[in-house]
Amino acid sequence: MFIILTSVITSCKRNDYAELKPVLLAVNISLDPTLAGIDFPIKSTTVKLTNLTNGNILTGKTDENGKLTLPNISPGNYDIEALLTISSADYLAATGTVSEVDVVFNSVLKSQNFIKQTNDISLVLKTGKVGDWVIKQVYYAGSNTSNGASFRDTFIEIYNNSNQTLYADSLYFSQVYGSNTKTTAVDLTKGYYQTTSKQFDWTKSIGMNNAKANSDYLYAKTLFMIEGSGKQYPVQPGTSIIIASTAINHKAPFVGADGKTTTVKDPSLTIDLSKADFEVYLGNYPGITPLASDIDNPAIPNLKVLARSTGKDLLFDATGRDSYVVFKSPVNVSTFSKYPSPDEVSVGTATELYIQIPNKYISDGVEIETPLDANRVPKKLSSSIDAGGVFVSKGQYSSQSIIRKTAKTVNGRRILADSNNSKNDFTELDIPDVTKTIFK
Amino acid sequence: MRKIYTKILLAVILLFAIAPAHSQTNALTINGIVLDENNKPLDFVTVKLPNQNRVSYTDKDGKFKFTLDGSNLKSITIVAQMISKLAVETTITSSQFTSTVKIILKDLNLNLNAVQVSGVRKSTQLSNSSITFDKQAIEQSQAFSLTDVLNNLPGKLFSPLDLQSPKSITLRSEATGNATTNNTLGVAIIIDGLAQSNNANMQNKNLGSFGLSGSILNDYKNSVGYDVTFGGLDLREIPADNIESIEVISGVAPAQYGDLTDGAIIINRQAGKTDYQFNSRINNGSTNFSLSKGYNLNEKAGFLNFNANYLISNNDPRDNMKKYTRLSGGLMHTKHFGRNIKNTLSIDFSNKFDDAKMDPDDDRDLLTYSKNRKFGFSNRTSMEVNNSFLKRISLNFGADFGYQETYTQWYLNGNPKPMANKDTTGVYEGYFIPGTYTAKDHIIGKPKNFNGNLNFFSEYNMAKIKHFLSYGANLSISSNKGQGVLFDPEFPRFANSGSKNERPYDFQLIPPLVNAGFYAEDRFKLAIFKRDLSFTTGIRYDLQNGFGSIQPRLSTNYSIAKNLKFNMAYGIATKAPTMAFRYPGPTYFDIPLINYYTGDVRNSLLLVYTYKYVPDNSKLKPSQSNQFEMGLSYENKFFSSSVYAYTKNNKNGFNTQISYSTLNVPEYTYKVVNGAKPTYTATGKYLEKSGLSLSEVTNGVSSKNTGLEFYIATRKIESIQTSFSFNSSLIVSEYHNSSNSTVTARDEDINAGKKAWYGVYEALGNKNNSLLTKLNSDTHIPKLGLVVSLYYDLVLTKNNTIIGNEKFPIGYLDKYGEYYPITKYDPNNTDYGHLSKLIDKATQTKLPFMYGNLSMRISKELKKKIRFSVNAYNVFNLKADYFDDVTLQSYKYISPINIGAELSIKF
Repeated sequence: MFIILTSVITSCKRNDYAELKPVLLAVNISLDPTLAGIDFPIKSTTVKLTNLTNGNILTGKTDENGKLTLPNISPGNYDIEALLTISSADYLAATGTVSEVDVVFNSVLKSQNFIKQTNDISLVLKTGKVGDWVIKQVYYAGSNTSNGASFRDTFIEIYNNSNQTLYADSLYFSQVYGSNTKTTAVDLTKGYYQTTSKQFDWTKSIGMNNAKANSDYLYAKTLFMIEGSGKQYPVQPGTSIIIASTAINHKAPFVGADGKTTTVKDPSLTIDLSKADFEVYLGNYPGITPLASDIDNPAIPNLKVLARSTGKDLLFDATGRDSYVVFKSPVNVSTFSKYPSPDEVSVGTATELYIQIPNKYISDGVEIETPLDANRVPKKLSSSIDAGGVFVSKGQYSSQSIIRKTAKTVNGRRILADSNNSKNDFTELDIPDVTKTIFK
Repeated sequence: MRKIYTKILLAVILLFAIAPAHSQTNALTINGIVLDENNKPLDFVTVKLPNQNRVSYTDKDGKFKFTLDGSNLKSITIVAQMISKLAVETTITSSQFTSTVKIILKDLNLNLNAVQVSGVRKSTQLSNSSITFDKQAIEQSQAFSLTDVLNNLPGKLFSPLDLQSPKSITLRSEATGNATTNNTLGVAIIIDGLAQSNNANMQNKNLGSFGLSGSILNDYKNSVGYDVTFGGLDLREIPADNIESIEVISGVAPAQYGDLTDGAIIINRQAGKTDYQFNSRINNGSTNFSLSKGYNLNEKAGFLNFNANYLISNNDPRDNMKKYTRLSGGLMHTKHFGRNIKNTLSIDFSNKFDDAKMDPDDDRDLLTYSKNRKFGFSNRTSMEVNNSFLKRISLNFGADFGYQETYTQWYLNGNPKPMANKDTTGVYEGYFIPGTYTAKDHIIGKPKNFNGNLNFFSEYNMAKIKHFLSYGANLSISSNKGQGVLFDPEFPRFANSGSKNERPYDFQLIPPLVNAGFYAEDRFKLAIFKRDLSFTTGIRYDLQNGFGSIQPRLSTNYSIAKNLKFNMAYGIATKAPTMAFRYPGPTYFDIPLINYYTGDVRNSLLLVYTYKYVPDNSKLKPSQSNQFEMGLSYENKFFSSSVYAYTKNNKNGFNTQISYSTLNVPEYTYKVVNGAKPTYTATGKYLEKSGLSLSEVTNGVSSKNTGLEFYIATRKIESIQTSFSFNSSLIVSEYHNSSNSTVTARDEDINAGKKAWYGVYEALGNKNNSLLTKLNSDTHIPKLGLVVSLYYDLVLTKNNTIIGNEKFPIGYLDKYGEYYPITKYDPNNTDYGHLSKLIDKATQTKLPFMYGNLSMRISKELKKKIRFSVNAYNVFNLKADYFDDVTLQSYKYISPINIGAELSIKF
C-alpha cells in the first residue's frame, strides 16, 4: 500500500503541468493476501470513483480477474472505493463456512490523483473478521469404564476459525437443555411438545410470553465462562483451546510417595489432559458437595460456573443426547430470562430454571445424536445453528471423538468446515487429539 | 393416657392379689386313655384342656388324668396330639365326666378323611382371628421355606419360588416405604415358645453417612441386598419340614408375647417317635433335601429327634452366577419326669450362604457374598402343679450365637482421591489414593441373643366365676461381638461422599441391649342370656431402651346364637429399637482445607479437618401399634365363615432423617515449593463449610391400616370329595413419614446470599389399598391317598396414591442447619420468599385391570409311605402385562409358569 501511494505521489509531481485531456484508469482489484486461496468471485466488484472537484460519481464493475478499465475520465483527484458483496451461498461455496449475513469486502483510497495518460490503481479488498469461534473437537463419549478413564477424560476443543486473533476471555460454553424423550415415544397430547420437531414447546413454559420462544432462542442447561481481563487469553487464527472436564493425565493420574506411577488398566484408551487450557471444577461451589471424581489441577484455570443443572462437574452425555454451543454475548448474561422446563406444571423451590439465550449470539453449535436411530431424541438446536447431528460410530465409552473437517488451507491456516450441518462438517478420531494439531 | 394405663394396671394387680383367697370347691376328676388305630395304648401323648389352660401326658398305659374344679362346668374340650399322628379334639358333656374318655389317634397320612390340607382361620386360645396350618397343610405347600407356607395367608399372593433374595412378611398392612420394614420387624417369630431375635443384627455401613436404605451392602449385579438388618428375620432361613404347626396371629396378640407390633408367627415343633422321613423337592434351579427321625431311646432316657435340611438354589442354572445354599439341622430331646414334668432340650444349627460370584466377562470384578451361621440351644420345661391356685409353670430359655459376614467388591475406576483416616476431630495431613482399585465393603458381626421366659398358669374362683390366670416375665439380651465394619481407607467404596468417609467400627465395644417384660392375663367366662361371654384381660409392661410401656391386651367373645359368635379385641404392642438403630456408630466429616493435587503425591498436599459426630440414640422410643378388631363367626355342619374388621395404628417406627449443618473450619494458606510438598500456615481465620448432611435415626414412621377380612370354607362335600374356601381381604393403609422433607433452594438463590438454603415441607404421604381374593378347592380322595388343590388368586384392586398437596414450606433451614418455622407464608419475605410451593407430586398408580392367577398342587400317597407331589404356579401360563403410556414403564403382574415336584418317603 505504501509503495502504491508513494508511486502515485511521485508521478503526480512529474505530470503537474500536463495538458488537460481525458485519461485512462486501470483498476486492479485483489483480495487480502490473508484470504488468498479462497476462491471468492471477485467478478462484479463495484468500483466507485468520486471526483473531488465537481462531486461527479462514476461507477463500474470489474471482470472475473478483478480488472476494470475506465478509458476516459477527467483528470483530477478522486476518492476511489471498491465494494464486493459475497452472498451467503457464495461464501459457503467458497469457504465451506457459513456466514449468516452477506459478507462485504471493501477497500477505500482517498484523494487519488489521476492526471497521467494512463493511470494504474490497485485496491486490496479487505473485510472485517471472516470466520468465528467454532467447536473443533468434542470428546463426549468417554473411554472404557473399567479399563479407560470412563467419563472423566472428556473435553471440548474450541477453534479460532477466523482470520484474526480472538480473545477467549468471556467466551461462553453451554450445554443446551431440551427433551430427552425418544422422538418415537413423544406423546404430543401432553401439549408441551412442538408437533413437528417433537422438542419442547417453550411457548408453553410458565412465565413465557414470547411467540418466538422456540425459533429465536435456546435454553441453557449449563453455562460456563472463561474468566479473563479481556485480552488475557489470545487465540491466534487457526489455533484452539481445550476445556477439559478434569485436566489431569488420565493415562497415569497418580504417582505415589515411592515414585511409582499408577495407570488406568489400559492407558492407550485414554488421554493426557494435564496440558488442557481450562477445566471445570465445582468443588468450591456453594451448597453442593463436589463429585468425588472431580479433581482441581492447580496449574489449570477453572471456568466460571454460571449454571450447573444437577451436575457436579462438566459432564458430557456419553450416549450422545447433548448439544453444545459457544458464544460471546454483547449483553450481560445475567439479564437473560430464565424459564422452567415446559413440562413443569408449577414452579417450586427447587424447580430448575433454564437460561434463555438468543440464537443470534451463538457463534457455533454442535448437535450430538445417538448412533442408533431408534434412540434418537428431538433436536435441541435450531437448524440455523446446526442442521444435522453427528455421533461417534462406536458409541459411548469408545474413546472416539468427533472432529471438524478442514475446508481450506489458507497460508497454512486451516479453515474448518462450518456449513452449520455437523453431519457433513465432522468426522471422527479413534483417539481424541489433545495436541490441537491434528486436522482432518 | 399414662394415668389411665396405671389405673388399669393397679386394678389388674388388685384382681390377682385377692384371687388366692378363693379356693376350689367342687373337685372333678377326668380320666382318659389314648390308643392308636390298633387299640394299643400310646404313651407320652400331650393332652390339653385348652379352655382350662391345662396340659398333661399319657403314661405307659396310655392313661391320663385331670383334676378340675367342676362347678359350673358343662362341657370340657380335650385335645390329644402326638407327632406324626392326626390330632384329635373332642368335647365331652357333663354326663360323660365320670366315664373314661377314649381317644384314638391315627397315623397322619392322606388316607385319613379328616386331614386338613389348607390353612384354617379360627378362633384359638391366643387370638380370635388366628390362621393355623397343621402338618398336612404345611406338607401340601411343598415348602422350601416358611415363605411358601405363608403365601397361603389371606391378603398374600402365590408367587413363584425365589430363593435369591431375603423374604420377610408383613401382616395387615399395605403401607409402603419404611412402614414395610417396620412391619416386618414387628412380626415376632416364636419357635417352641421362644422369640427368634434379629435385634443384634448390625450388618450395615454407617447410618449417618448412608441412611437406612443406603447402608445395607448391595449386590449391584443382581440389585439386591442380602442382609435384613432393619427388618424381620429372613424367612428363607427357616425350613418348613420339621414344623408341626404354625399359628399366625395378625390381630391382637396375647399379653404373653412382647417385643412385637404387627403380630406373631408361632411355630411349634414336636418330639416323639417317628419313622425316618426323607423329603426331596425340586423347582427350577433349586433343590432341597431333608431327613428326620424320632427315636424312643428308652423309658428313662426319653425321645430324641433329629432333622437335617440342605437346600441349594441357583438363580440361573445356565451360568451358576448366583447361588443360595442353606444347611440346617437340629436335635431335640424330650423327657418326661413323671406325669407332670416335660423337658425339651433343642440344639439347632443353621448356615446360609448367598454367593454372587465374579463374572469373568465383567471388568468391574463385582463379587458379593453374605454368610449367616447360627448355633442355638433352647430348653423348655413345663411342670404341672396341682396346687389349688397354681396349676402349671413353664420355663423357656435359649441362646443363640451367630456369625454374619457380608462382603462386596467393585473394581473402581476413578480419579485419584483425597483420603482422611483419623478418628478424632482435628486438622491433619491426609493423603491421596489412586482412583483405580478394587473397593471393598466388609462387615463381620457376631450376634448373640439370650431369651428367656417364665410363665405361671393359675385358676381361682371369684364371685362364683372361674378365672384362669397366667402371668410371667421375660428377658432378652442381645449383643454383638463381631469385628464390625472392616473399613479399609485404601479401598473405599464411596470416598468423600457428601464430605463424609467411613471408618472401621468395632461392634465389640457396644454394650448389650437388654429388654424385659412382665405380663398378666386373666381369662373368665360369664353366662349372659344363657350364652357364654368370654373375656381375656391382659396387660403387659415392657422395658425397652429405658422406656417403659404399659400395653393392655383385651379380647372378648360372645355367642349370640348357637353357631354365631361375636368377638372383639384391643391391644397395644411395642417393639424395641434393635442394636443397629440404637448404636449406629460415629459419622466422620472430612473437610479438605487444602487439596493441592498435581498428579504426583510427592509434591501434592492434602490438609483435612475431620469432625467426628457421635450419635446418641438413647432417646429412641420403642415403635408402637394400637389395634382394634371385631368380628363375627358362624359355623354349621356345612361351612364355617367369619368376617373381621380391624384398624391398626402404628407410630414411632424407625427411620433415618437428614439434617444439615455447617462446620467452622480453620483457614490455611499454602506456598508452592518446587519439587516438594507445598508448605502451609494457618491464617487464624475460620471458614464456613455449609450444606453438610447427616442421617439420624428417628421415630418418624407412622402408618394407619384399616381392613376387612372375609372367610368362608365349606366342609368336605362327600359326593365330590371336595371342600372349598374363599378368602377376601381388603386393606387400606396410609403411611406417613413424620420426618419433614427438605428441599434445597436453587443455586442462584444460595449464591445470591439468601438466608434460607433449605425449604422444610411436611412429608409426603402414601395411601395404598388392595382388595385380594383367594379361592381354593381341595379335592381329597382318602381311598386313593390323593389330594388335588387348586388356588385362584384374584387381585381386584391394588392402588397407590402419593399424598402431597401443594404445600407452602412450614419452615426453613439456614446454611448452619438452624431451623426457622414459618407460621404464615409470605412470598415477599426476603429470607425465605424464594422458597415457593412444593410441587404437587400427587400421583396415583392404579392397577389398570383386575387379574387372576391359578396355581395347583397335587399329592399322591402310595402305601402310606411314599408321597409324590407336584405344584405349578400359573398353571395356564397366563400373562398380565401392562404398558403405561404416561410413565413409559411396562409391568408384568404375573410371572410365567413355574413347576416344582416333591418326593417324600417314610421308612
